[in-house]
Amino acid sequence: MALGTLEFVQALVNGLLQGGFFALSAAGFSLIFGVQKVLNVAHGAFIILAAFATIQFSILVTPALHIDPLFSIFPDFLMLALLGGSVYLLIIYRIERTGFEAPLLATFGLSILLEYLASNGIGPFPALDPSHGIGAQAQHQSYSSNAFQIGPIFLQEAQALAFVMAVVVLPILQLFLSRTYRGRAIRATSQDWEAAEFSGINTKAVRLLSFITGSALAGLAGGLFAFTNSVTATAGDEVLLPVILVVVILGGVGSILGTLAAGFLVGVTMSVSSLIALTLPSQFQFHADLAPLLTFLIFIVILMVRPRGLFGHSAAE
Amino acid sequence: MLSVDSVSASYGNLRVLWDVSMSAEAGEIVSIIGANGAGKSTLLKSIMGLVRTQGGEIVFEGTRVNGVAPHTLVAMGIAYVPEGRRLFPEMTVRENLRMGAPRRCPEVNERLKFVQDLFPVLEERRFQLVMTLSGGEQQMVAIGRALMAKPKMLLLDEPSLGLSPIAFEKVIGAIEKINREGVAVLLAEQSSERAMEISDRTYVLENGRVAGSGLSDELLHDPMVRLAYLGVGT
Ligand SMILES: Nc1ncnc2c1ncn2[C@@H]1O[C@H](COP(=O)(O)OP(=O)(O)OP(=O)(O)O)[C@@H](O)[C@H]1O
Ligand SMILES: [Mg+2]
Repeated sequence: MALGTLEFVQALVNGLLQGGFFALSAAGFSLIFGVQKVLNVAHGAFIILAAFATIQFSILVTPALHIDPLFSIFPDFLMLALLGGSVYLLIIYRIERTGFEAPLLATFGLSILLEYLASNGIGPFPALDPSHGIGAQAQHQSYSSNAFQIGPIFLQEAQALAFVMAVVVLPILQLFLSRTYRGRAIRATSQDWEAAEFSGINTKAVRLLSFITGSALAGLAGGLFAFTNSVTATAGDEVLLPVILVVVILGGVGSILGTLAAGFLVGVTMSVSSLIALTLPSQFQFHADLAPLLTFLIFIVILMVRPRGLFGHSAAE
Repeated sequence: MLSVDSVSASYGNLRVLWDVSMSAEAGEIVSIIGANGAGKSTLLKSIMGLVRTQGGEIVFEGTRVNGVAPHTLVAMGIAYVPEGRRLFPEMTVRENLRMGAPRRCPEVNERLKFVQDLFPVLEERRFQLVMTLSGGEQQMVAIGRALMAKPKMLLLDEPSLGLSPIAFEKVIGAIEKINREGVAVLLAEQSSERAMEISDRTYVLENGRVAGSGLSDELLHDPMVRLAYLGVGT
């Protein structure tokens, strides 16, 4: 089968849309790691928690209020902000000064706990068939499959929304970091927290703010995930976290615009390489599951050329 | 204004300060001299809340400040210029200065003007990233950042570090000017002679203990001090 231009453009568009979601998912992780050197490996689980909460909300609340299920994303954004703040104050704050290992283990434990709760339908996790997203719910079936067309190109509505959110929210976050006092305080803390502290910045408040912001971004990503993918209890660690790590490192830790660019790059590489996998002459054809290999190959090559990622290592520029 | 009363400090099991007592009054310049490893930096860090102290008491303007967070001390009126400057490397000169002032600061422009009058070169370099500045210019940014807090007392750790004699003289001139504006200065220095010349009183630290103290003019002519710290005979 020959590779048609149209298919190629469609794959490119799909990749860009998917990339916007990747960037949103990775930005919070990158922010938290950049500011407080905490690797929040529960970030994937946070996204899944948010996705479940969105499903729950869109079943129980939005139909009763007769509003679009998409509004489920907002309470979910707030919920994750609250969760992030609590996790920081109750756990991370007490151990982060000891080095990066303790927070890593603590967030790892947290992700296992959240996964356990999710796979058993306990707490905030609805006991619905976990292999289905919102699409499984009759009242929203039409929503999830809503697509529109620009010329011959198809766009899935919720995916397009993820793209729009990424290109709107992340530059706003970047502006916040570079133009406001609080944003600069976050950057100062990430560059030298002790110097920030003796320059008069309350670095505990700054770390709390960055953890809340990062977690709220996970909430946003999770809400969108619920509308675009099938949500499973373990998708956070199995699907999302590896992609998040690639995007964060590629974009440069702490660089929000770098994360956005890297998200697009990874999204496009994945979709185009799976297209290529299917269209190679039969003797060279490889299985579509191997397509991620191509992504990782590109990832390694870029890091060999630019060890600090595409955009250096700071949110400064 | 500031009094340190039998304060000790350790890094792990290594005790570095032993019952150190000292004081500084409003309007004074006080210098702390001593050999490498004597504990000068540790003393300033203890005052600034960056090192946990054991025993003793640190009192600033009548308030006990042991264990108070550094950013709170800044709000109370103590500013700190650390050894090695510790600027925010990926920020511009202007951004570094801005971080020294509180979030809500109606007089931020007056403070910026004060710093830029003190160090005119910083005005020209204001949009430059600080890591591209010379050592002397970086020291000016570090002092300027501390002054943006409009402190009552300024702690300076080894401002001569890495500076040419000419650059250091500029910094010395600035310190005297800041002091004339009514800011008390606590100056830890290896270049003991210049520090003592501009200060009212001096404390000599030796192996983490106060080995001597007095009016700087008198200590400058003390043969023991001259031999041990100024590297000259009578
Ligand atoms: N972070 C640290 N961890 C362990 N030991 C330290 C630490 N900082 C300083 N020390 C030790 O404490 C002692 C006093 O150090 P300090 O930096 O206070 O001396 P100093 O008088 O400022 O010396 P210098 O003139 O070289 O700056 C030294 O023996 C030093 O090795
Ligand atoms: Mg020192």
